[in-house]
Parts: sequence; structure tokens; C-alpha cells
Amino acid sequence: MGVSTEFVTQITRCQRQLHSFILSMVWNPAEADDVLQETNLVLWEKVAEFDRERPFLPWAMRFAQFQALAWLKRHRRQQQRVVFDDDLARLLADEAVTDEPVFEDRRLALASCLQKLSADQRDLIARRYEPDGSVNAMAAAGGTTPKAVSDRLRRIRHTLLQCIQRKLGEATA
Amino acid sequence: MTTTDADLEGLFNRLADGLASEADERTLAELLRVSSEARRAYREFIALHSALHWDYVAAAGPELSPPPDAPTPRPTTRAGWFAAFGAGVLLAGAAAVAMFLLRPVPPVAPEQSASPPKPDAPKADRVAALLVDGVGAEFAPGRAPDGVRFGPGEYELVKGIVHLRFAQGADMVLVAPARIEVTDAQRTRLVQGQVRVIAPPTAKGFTVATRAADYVDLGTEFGLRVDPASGASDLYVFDGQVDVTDPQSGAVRSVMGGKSARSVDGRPADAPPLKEGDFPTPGSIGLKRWEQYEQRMREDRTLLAFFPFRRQADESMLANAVEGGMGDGRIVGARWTTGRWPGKDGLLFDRDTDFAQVTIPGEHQELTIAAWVKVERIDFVLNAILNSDGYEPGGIHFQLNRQGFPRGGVIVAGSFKDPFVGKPVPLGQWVHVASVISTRTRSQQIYVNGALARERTWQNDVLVRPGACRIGNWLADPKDQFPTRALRGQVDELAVWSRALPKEEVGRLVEAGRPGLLWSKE
Repeated sequence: MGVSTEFVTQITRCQRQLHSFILSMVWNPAEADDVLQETNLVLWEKVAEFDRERPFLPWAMRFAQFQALAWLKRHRRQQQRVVFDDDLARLLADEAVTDEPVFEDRRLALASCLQKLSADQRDLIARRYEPDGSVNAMAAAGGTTPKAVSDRLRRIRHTLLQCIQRKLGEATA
Repeated sequence: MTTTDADLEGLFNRLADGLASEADERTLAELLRVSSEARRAYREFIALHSALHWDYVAAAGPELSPPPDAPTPRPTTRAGWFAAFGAGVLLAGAAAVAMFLLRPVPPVAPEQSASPPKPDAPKADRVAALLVDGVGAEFAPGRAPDGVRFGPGEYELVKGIVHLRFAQGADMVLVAPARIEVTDAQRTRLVQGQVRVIAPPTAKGFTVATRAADYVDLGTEFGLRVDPASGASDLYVFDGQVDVTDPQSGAVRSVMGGKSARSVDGRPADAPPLKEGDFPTPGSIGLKRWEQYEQRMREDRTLLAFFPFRRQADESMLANAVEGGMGDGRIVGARWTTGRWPGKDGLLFDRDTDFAQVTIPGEHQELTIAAWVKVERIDFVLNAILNSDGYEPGGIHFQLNRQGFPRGGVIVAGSFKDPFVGKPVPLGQWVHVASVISTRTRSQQIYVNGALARERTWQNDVLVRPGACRIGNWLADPKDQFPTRALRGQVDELAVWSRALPKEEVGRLVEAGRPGLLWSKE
């Protein structure tokens, strides 16, 4: 019972970080959701092997790495499988673990940075990231090209990344 | 390579928005391999991409009214989800822990958008249960889960059956018509309908409340039904112990395994006798899903044969659901057992003399054979799933070698090549195997659980003439050096088409027939 409660706490805590890592390999957020769910299933099945004395995230990240690779094998054309071979996937997973101390800080910084965007910018982000939102659909709806939509998103993402960096700098200054 | 930050961000954005070219992907591969700085920038960018996906509602801004040209949230989201659900897609992993901190529930239901936001809306961020399986499930508008996610709130199942898994491990099978109010991972109110609850030790204390009483599960399995008219609750404890608490007096009585009890307005009474089919199990959902799939299969006019492996009064008959085509098969030796689910029949082949004889008449340019098999052991150099008798040109072989790799094809003069060999068939679990033969392309593909496991090509023209065949065995060519090719395992479905199924269609067969949620294709 104790292990299980601990397990549940840990698995809950690392959801976003696992998602982010998986997304770095599959690129599409909704598809990353699916892989995350598969990963959770595997983790749940492995609960007996969970050692509470050891850090949870590296252990969980390993399964995310395998699930993401397996997913690429099932769903992606050859090219993307070449991008992410076993070695690179492992490297990305290992390095993702090192982000753990700042991951939550960055997320909180983002929440406040989003508030600083203009209403138009926030609307654009919301439409891009709503369920089934895509630049293609937005381009079709707005009578423009996907590239034009992506360019606008790029500027907003750039602003957000800069803002997050600044906030973290303020916090540590 | 010199790459500026702007180049990098441009590349990352194209990847994130699905606009990347193959050259972009190659560039990414190279950058990530050589530059830790590029990997850091990539992680930060992707973390943003991920966070915006989770929190897009935050971007919309809860205090802002939506702009007039804002897209209407798609009312079809759930319908789309359930269409996928019917096909079994997306189910993988839904059984996953119900322990998600999830994206805020988007304001999907149009009828809700008019009402002011509930003050406790942010709490919906925490999900109490996940939908792990279902058949024919439809929820009432505004009372449906967010995809597979059940946060605190009201749900109304108007059709079908669903299986939920709560965060601490309790399983609940809910049968329509039913209404529940989920409080959290350990407490749910059953307003109307019937549920079966299976609670492992981690979910001890899982409580289902009704108007008449609170039912506290102490590690057990029980059925509970609420009659909306009388408000009476009927409890049937299948195993373990359930404590029934009167919400008024607080009085507790324990009901043990094998017993039942009715509560009406706090008064105990006798529950009516349990009827067969009350309180379906999680396994019965899989069977019901398969039965719907079976109905759809019967409408496929390109099928030469579909053997659903249903035991007949004449137990030696292997009934073919396609009329007028191949006719029925004949079972010799193989015995009837339970297939992928309780209630699903299958045939066990475990002696050298066990087989089922079928005949696939005619000449074909294309042929697909697909079967669900569970191989227990491999005893021979070659082990037949479905082989034409003897060894005549145009005959077909579909078998496993000693390592479990599928092989075979159409018997043709001249040489052949196997340019691709993938994974073997795993032992001891249900596996979907499909052999797709095309004499037009002079090639054959074998799929294991929808993934390509072998490809064979050949040089000479041939027509496929399977003729008399054995399932689970081979009537040997007397000259052959490996005459015994008896299968050791079960088969519970086999279909033959006179066309070459594309890979996607094979994948759909796998999804439709998957034994259960915890079953993995890998």
C-alpha cells in the first residue's frame, strides 16, 4: 500500500516531463499523449519492480524511451527512424532527466509569460493547441498558408522562450 | 556546421507544426548528435511545445471572453473519439494509470458555454478515472468524459458498456442506462443503473454511494444496481466483503462473498435473485466488441471464408460464416477450448494428428489469410498455421519455423527471396498473423500483430490454387524431409480473402480483435 501511494505520487509528478521527452521524438502533441498513456501502462505493470530508494524519473524515462522508439517504428516513415536511433533516444532521455530541477520553474514562468501576450497572440496559441488544432486547419480557416501561420507562431514562441529565460534569470539573480 | 539560433528555432518550429522537410529532419539528426547546445535548445523548445499543449486553455485566458471569430469547439470531438473507440484504436494504454494531472477540460459542450464557469472548474484538472474499454458506448451530451478522462463530475451512459479504472486501481464496469457522479478516485455516487466493481488491495475503501446506502469495498468484487423509481439498491457480493453504511444512522452492516442485500430508505430487505448476464465482467466487453466485429465481417463480400470458430452442435464442424463460398471445414482431433475471451470458442491443436480440414477452391491472383493464434510451444522445424495438402505449384504454406519466424507463401517454380525478415511470433499469447499474397506483384507479406514480419518475392508467374488445406497441420508430401508440422496451440479465428489486404486494413483487424487492453502488440 505504501509503495503504491508513493508510486502514484511519483508517476503523477513526472507526467509533464515524460510528455515533453516523448514529444521530442514524436513531435505531435496528441500522438505524444498516446505514447505517454502507453508508457503509463507499462509503468503500472512494472510497479512491482519500482524501487522507492532510487530516483523515479530516470527509471520512468527509460520506459518512455522504449515506448517512443516502438511508436516511431510502428507509425513513422523510415526517415524519422533514422533521426532517432537507440543511441540518440537514450542521450535525449538521459539529458531530459537533468532538467528535472528547473522543469517546473520553467512551466510556472510560462504561465506568467502567457499573460503578457496580446489577446491576438493568445488566441493564435489557443487555436493552434486546442484539440485537433493544426497550422493547416488554421491556414484553411484564415485563407492563408500554413507557413504564414507557422511564422506567426514562431514569433510568439520566440517571445515566450525569451520571457521564460528572463524570468528564470530574475529568480536566480 | 554553423547554425544560428534563428535557424535552430526555425527548424524546431517547422517540426512542431508538421511542416518539416526530409532535409530538415536530417539536419535535426545531425545537430542533435553533435551539439549539446542544440539539444538543450531543442529540449527547451519542446518543453514549451508540450506545455502549451497541456495548458492551451490558459492561453485562451479564462478571464477573456472568446473573440467573436473564435472557432466553435468541435462538438464532434467525443463522437470522433468513440468512432475510434469502436475500432479499438487509442485503447492502448488507456488502462494506464488513472493518475494524470491533465490538461484542463476544454469547454467543449456548447450547452455549457452559456452558463458561467463553475467556481471549482480548475479542480477538473485532476482525473479520477480513465476509460479503459467499452462497447457501443454513448454518453449524454455534457455528461461525457473528456476523451478517456473522467474528472470529478456527472456522467450519463445512455448506450453500451464501459470499463473505467480509477486512480487507485478499482475497476468499474458500468452498464447503460446509468448515471454516476465521480467525486474522486475513491468515491463515486451511483444515481441510476448497474455496476460491477473489482477492487484490488490498493483500492481498499473504494466507496460507491447511492441514495439508500454507502457501499465501502474492502478488497473484493461486487455488483450494485440502483432502481431509479424506488431508489432501492441491490448489492451482490461475489467475493470478499462490502460494508453497507446507512447514511442517516451511520449503522454499518457487512455483506460477505456470495450474499446479497437490498437497501430501501435505510431499511434492509432481500435482493431479488441474481440473473445471468447481470453485471458484465471486463472480459465480456472484449467478447461483445468481437461480436460486433463479427457482424461487420459477415458483410465483407470479398471474403472467401470467415471461420469465427463457434462451436456447433456437430462438434466436428468448423462453420464458415460466408455462405456459398468455401463451405464449412471439418475438425479432426483438435478440441474445443476457450479463445480470447470467456465465451469465445477456439480450437486447441496439441497432437501430431490434430487438424481442421478446409478447402479453398479456385484460382486467385491475390489471397489474404488472417488468423488469431496462440502458440504454446514449437516442436518441429516447421509448424503449420494453414498449409495446402502436399506440395503442388500454386499451393500455399503459412507456417512458423523453429525460432517462431513466420514463413511460407505460394509454391512456385524457380527461386524466391526473403528480402525482409522481422520479429518472430511470441509464444503463449494471442497473436494476429496475416499472410498477403499477390501474384501481380509476385510478392508476399506476412504481418504479425499488424507489423511486417517477412516479405518474400519470386520470379515466375503462378496462380494461387490453395485447394484442400489443413489448419494447424500439413498433409505431407511423401518426399518431404520435414513431414510433421503439427501446431501446438490454439486458433480462434481465421479468414480468407480473394484480395491483397493493405497493411492499414490488417492493422484495423488487429485493433478490432485485440484480446484486451492490457494486451501489447510488441
